Amino acid sequence: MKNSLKVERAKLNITQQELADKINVSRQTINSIEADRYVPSTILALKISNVFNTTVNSIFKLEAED
Amino acid sequence: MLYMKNAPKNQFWLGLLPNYFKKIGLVISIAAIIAQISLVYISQNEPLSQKEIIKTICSSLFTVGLFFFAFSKEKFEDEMHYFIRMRSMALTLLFVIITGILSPILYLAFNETPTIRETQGFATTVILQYIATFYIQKMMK
Repeated sequence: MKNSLKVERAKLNITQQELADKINVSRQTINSIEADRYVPSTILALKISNVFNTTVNSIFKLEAED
Repeated sequence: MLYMKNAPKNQFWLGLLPNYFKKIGLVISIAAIIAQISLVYISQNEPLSQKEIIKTICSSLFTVGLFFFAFSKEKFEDEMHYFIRMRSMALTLLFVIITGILSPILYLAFNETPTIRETQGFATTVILQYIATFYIQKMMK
């Protein structure tokens, strides 16, 4: 699964720590999601999409092997 | 272990010990190691059975300290930590099964029978394995 979290974050001009604080996770978790090392739960994905005021599908995209 | 409030319904959350138990666990473990080392120098005149009792208490305290360290929360515990924890437990279980299969063969090969101390050592190894797996995976994230 690919995600455009870094791009969305850049658009809003917020740091990983600021995003982490907003959704109540660690900065390490945001970093892992951005680097595709961790796939968030549905709840966390929804929280992330709420912060960017967009849909989960527009941030997280399935790949052929998923 | 307690069920954690506000946990996602599809996740079984472990009600871990508070974060300060990490420090308590470390202090207990280090104190137990120091006590065991100093026992060699201090109690040279003590009878052997008394030495054995103190040694056993020290090793038990060391294991309890490790347990506190392993099963207490990180400073910030979220779903990724939960995921790492679960994977560490799965890997540790695999390690335990492999060790469980291999150890009787090794005992037979060396013509020995397992003692209480070896069983205690096994428990300590399992907890140490869990701690190592958890922190290695956390560093890799």
